[in-house]
Formats: sequence, structure tokens, C-alpha cells
Amino acid sequence: MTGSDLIGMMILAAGLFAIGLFGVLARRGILFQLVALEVALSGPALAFVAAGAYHADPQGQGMFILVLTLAAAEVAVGLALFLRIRRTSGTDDSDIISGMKG
Amino acid sequence: MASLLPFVPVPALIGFVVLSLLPVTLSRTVVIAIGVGAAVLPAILFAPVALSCLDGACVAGAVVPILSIDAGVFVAQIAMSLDPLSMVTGGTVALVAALVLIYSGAYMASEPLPDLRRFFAVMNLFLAGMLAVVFAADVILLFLGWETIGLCSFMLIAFYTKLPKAVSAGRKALITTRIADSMLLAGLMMLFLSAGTTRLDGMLAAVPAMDPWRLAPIAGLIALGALGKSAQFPFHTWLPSAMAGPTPVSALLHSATMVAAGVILLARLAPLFAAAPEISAMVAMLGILTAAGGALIAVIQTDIKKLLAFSTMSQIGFMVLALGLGAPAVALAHFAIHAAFKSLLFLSAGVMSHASGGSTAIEALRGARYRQPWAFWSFAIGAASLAGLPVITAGWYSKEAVLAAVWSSGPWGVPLWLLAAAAAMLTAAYAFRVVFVAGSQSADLAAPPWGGAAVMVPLVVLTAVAVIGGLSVGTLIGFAGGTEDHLPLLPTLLGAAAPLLGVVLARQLVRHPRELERVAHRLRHVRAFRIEILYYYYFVRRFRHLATVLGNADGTEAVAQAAALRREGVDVPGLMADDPLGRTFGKEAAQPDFISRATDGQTPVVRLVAGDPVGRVLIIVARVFVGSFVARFSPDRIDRAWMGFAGGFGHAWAQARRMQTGRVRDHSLWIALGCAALLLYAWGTSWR
Repeated sequence: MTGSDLIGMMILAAGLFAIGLFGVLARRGILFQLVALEVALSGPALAFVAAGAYHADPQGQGMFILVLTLAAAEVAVGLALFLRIRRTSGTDDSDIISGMKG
Repeated sequence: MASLLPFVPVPALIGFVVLSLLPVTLSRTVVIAIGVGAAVLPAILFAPVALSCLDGACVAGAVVPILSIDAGVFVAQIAMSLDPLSMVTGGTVALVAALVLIYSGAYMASEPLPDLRRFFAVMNLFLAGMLAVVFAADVILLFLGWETIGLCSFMLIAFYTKLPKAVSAGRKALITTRIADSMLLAGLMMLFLSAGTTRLDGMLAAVPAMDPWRLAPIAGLIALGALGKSAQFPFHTWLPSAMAGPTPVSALLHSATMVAAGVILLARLAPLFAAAPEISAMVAMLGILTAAGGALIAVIQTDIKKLLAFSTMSQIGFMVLALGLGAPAVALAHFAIHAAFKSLLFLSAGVMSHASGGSTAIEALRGARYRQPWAFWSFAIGAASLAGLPVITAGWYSKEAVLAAVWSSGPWGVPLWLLAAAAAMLTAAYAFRVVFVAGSQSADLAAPPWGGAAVMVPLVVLTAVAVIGGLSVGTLIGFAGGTEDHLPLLPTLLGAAAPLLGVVLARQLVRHPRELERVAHRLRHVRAFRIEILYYYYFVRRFRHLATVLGNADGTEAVAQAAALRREGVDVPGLMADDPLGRTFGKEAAQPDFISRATDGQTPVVRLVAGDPVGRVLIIVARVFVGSFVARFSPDRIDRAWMGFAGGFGHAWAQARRMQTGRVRDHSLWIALGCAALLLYAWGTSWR
């Protein structure tokens, strides 16, 4: 992998992250926000793998596994919370659920 | 034989999995059989290992690797070790747990089946976790076991989920120990970073080369973590309320698992603490404080389980004291003997209270000697061992060893010894108080017979250990690598007299219950260990007094006070609604009940304090303060600017709150902006 490849990969990763972040910011449905979060997480994951490959260092892949585990845990907890919130508040609009504001 | 070691906790773990996860229905008998069998098997499996150890196979210590993860230069190993320490503690844990589980097979048999299954599943996991802590040769396994017992203690203390008291007690135990656990984790991680290995032997080998500035915080954090699990002074509050669980849980939790884990960890890392003398001194101080304080509180308890809980705190305090003074072998010997007699006390107290209408109040046990003679006599022997009656009980030998270690511990030895001996006397007093009450005649002697062989066998075995175990104390100490100090004649005699004196004191306390009440009343201040009572005595009561003086019904007192204040040159603030700072109290002043403008001829001060004296005193004090200090200087422009600046913080705070909209999208925007700012900062500072 050459330096320009790495830069391309990084741009791709940043783009993925930006798409995900935009999704979280723009969407109001909790489910869509969760999906967008997944997209956002894949950006840094790609960046880790690319940087690891460029430096020939297995730590990048290690971090990728960590991100993968994190995403799985986040989906598991997030979906459970989503179901619970749907049941208690009857809505999936994240703007309406603001009972914990300061 | 050492290779058998990793299999010791396995039956308990299997028992947990089978009982908790299998979706098949099991009958009551099968559940009890699995639960008890899974707890007895570890003891059987450990026996040959222990025997090979006694033959001298483990004096140097053998490490049995289980799993090793290669990550480049760094290797993380999970291993168990067989050395004198794990042999003594492991043997104690396995034996006591087996006996307690045999007992609970009979004790819990009347529970509904799902509860019974849950009970045995969690008890088995508890045992497995404790064995992992005891045998661990690396901090990974150690911490896993440590957290497992924390979780299990939560589930067991809160076992009666329908009692709010039990649930909140479980939560309290979990949260308190979790605070300590986080300190332990921080300490272990710092130790790992300094030593570069997760293996305990490697870490201890790296200690001498470590920077003392680094060593002290590490040792301090680890010590606080261990003291939290062991319910020592700042963290002691969870243990007495942990009595909400079933009796066998208390027996196991107080003798061999959970609270003992802290002692075992401190003993395991003894070289680390030897290298940090100031931390050791702190540990010893907290130990003696808990030993004496716990004994003092136990004397005035009216509930037998609470009494035993404070007794555990106090006895663990003795062990921690020995550890802090650099005598881990002595602490271990006391741990082993204490585990035997404390579980004996809990188990026999359980039988006695079962035969006394299920109440755990000490008064309810009156006459237990005639209803349950077996249980009573085993309790009496356990109490004698706890009190440390000279020569004939095991407790005397191990406590004597602790006292000797205290005596010969340098310049502070003698005063510490005196405190410890006083605590030993109180120990005898509270232990025998129960014996005397339970041994006295009572009107109703009829009680349903209860308890078969499953209850009697553990009691008999533990009674035997509580008596003849004393012969093994010297051997145990030598085996664990320590030397037994021997005291000069005079302190030995005094130490032997202390428990006897305690027994006499107990006799007096029982004969004259009103004296006990008086002592209890006197000790109210000591109970402020519970800080709120101290707070009440020295602060709230005074404050109330002041408030009633200022706010009595017709207001004459208040007027007199105001006049007196004015004589002393203090401007009484109720009259200064027009003062330059009047606006500070503008809102309050606008309320009709605050200062009504003297329509009925009363002065504003009287109106001010008439309604709610306690609440008004604050306002009066604040206004006196403002009137006498602030208002004098306030025409000054600089001061007003300064006050405005101070008031601005309030506004800023009110504005900042608005950032918390409670909307996910706003939060993620702030997070993204913050991350971007951090990245820019990192980029800017690392740019070459």
C-alpha cells in the first residue's frame, strides 16, 4: 500500500464518518439514528485497518476488532433501549423524548 | 498434583451453569443434589493437591498456566499458583463452603423451587469466584474472580427480592464495594504499567526497583480496594445491612468469601506493602480502628445477626492490623481459624433462631439451650473460640499470635497492643452476652424439632475445628512463611485475662439489662461512626436551640436578642429593606409572610421568625452578615462591580443549563464539535 492509497482510504473513511454523523444529526427517528451510527463507526474502523496495513502493524486490526465488538454491543443495548422507549413513550422521535434536560 | 489445581473451581462453575441456564425442569431433590454436590466436589478435588502441598511440593510455589495470549512482545498469561498462601486459603474456602452448602441444603429446602434453584446457582458461582481469587497467579484471573464475588454477593444479599430492605442492602453492598473496586482496578493497572507483566510473581519481583513516588499511590489504591471488600473503616457500612440475605449466605460471606478476599489480596501482595511503609501504617490504623470500633458497636446490638456482622468487621480488623504490621502469615492463621468459628456461629445461630420462632432478636433466643441443645452448645463453643478463652480454644492461639505481632511491632507496639487487648475483651463480652441469654430459662420450652444430619454434620465438624484447630496455628504460621512471636509473661497473662474479664462483663450485662441500656445510651456518640448522629448532636441540636430562642411564641425573646445585637453595634437586618443591598433579598422581601410592614405594631424581626424558626435563622444570619460586613462597604462602586461579577456566575449557570436540551441530535452535535476541537488541538500541538 502506497501513501496515496492511504490518503484515499482516509478520505473514504472520513466520508463514511461524515455520512454517519450527518445521519445522526439530521434524522429524528431513533432507529435511523442507530443505523447512521453504524455507518459512522465503519469510518474509523476502515481508517484503523488502512493505517495498520500502511505501517505493517497488527494493532490496526486489533483496534478494528475492538470497534466491531463495540458496535455489536451498542446495537444490542441500543435496540433494547429503542424497544423500551417505544413502549413507554409511544414515539420514536428522539426530539420528543427530552425528559432529562437540565 | 499441582496440575489438578485448575479443575478445583470447575465443579462449582458447572453447578452454576446447570442450575441457571438449562431450560429443563429439575425436581427439588435434584436441585439440592446438584447445588450441594457442586460445592462439595471442589473440597474433594482439592484434598490430594493439599496433601501433596503438605508433603513439601509447594513451599517454593508452583504456577499452573491455563491460557496464554501472545501479543507480540507482550504475553498475557492466565495461571493459578499453588503455594502456602493459596493452599491455606483455598483449603479453608473449600472446606467451609462445602459445609455451609450441606447445611443450606436443609435450611433452604422450604423455599419455592425457582428461588431454591437461583440460590444454589449463585452460591456455586460465589464459590467458584472465590476459588479463582484464591488460586489466581495473575491479576486478570484475580480481578475476574474479585468482580464475580462482588456480583454474587449483590444477588445473594438481595435474595429476597420482594423485601425492599433486602434489595436496597444488596445495592448498598454492590455500590460501596464497587467504589473500592474501581480504586483496586486503577491500582492494579498502574502496577501493571510499572511492572510490565500481569503475573503476580513478576509484579512483586519488579517492586524493589520501582520509584517510591510511584509505589505509594499504587499500594494506597490497592489497599483501599482490599479494605472496601473487607468492610474496613471507611467502607464498613455495607456489611451490617448485608444481613438481609439468608443465613447460609451470611455464614459464607462472613467467613470464607467476600470479606476475606481483601485480607487474602493484602497477604498476596505483602511485599508490595512492605515496600510502602506509610501505606502499611495507614492499613494498620484502619485495621485497629475497625477492630476496636466494631467490637464496641457489637456490644450494644440487639439483633444476633447484626452482632455477628460487627464481630466479623472487628475480627477482620485484627487480620488487617496484622497485615499492616507486616505479619501476613499471622493474619492468614487468624483467617483460617476465624472462618471456622464464624461460620459455626452463623450456622448454629440460624438453627437457634429457627427454633425460636424465626426471630433474630437476641431476646427471642432466651431458652434456646433447652429447645436446641446441640445448636446452643456449638454456638457456645464458637463464642468461646471467638472470645479467645485461653488455652482450650483455637481462637485464643490465633488471636494470641496477632497480639504478639502487635506487641513486637516497634515503638507503637505497646499502645496498639493495649487497644487490641481492649478490643479482645469487648469481643468476649458481646460473644458471651448471647450465650448467657440463650442459656437462661424461659417460659416456653416447646418448639418443633428441626434439623437432621445435614444440619448437624457441619456443626460438629466446625465445632471440632474451633476447638482443636488451635494446635495447628503455630504450624500454619510457619507453613505460610512467618515466625510466631512469643510475648513476655506479663502481656501473655494480661492477654489471657482480657477474655475472662469480658465474660464477667457479659455476665453483668445480662444480669443488669438496664446497665446495658445505659451503656448503649452512652455509646450513642460512638455509634456516630454514623456521622449523622454526631452532626445532630453538635450542630443541628444547637441550631434548633438557637432557633427556638429566637422564635418563641410572643417574640419577646427575639426582640430582646435584636436589641442586644444592636447594642453591640450590629445592624439588625429585618429593618433594612431600603438598604443598598435590599435588592439582594428583593424576591423574598416581596413575599407577604416575609416582612409585612409592621401593620400590627410588631417589629419586622418578630414577623420574620414567627412562622418557621429553623428556616428563618438562616435568613437572619445571612442578613446580619450582610448588614454588618457587606453593606458597610457597598456604596463603593468597585464593590458593586465585584458583586455584579459574582452575581453574573448565577446567570451564566442559568444560561449554561439551556445547553442541556435533552435532544439526542443536539448532544451528538456537541460531541462531534468537541471531538473536532480536540483533534484540531492535537494536530496543532503535534505538528512538526
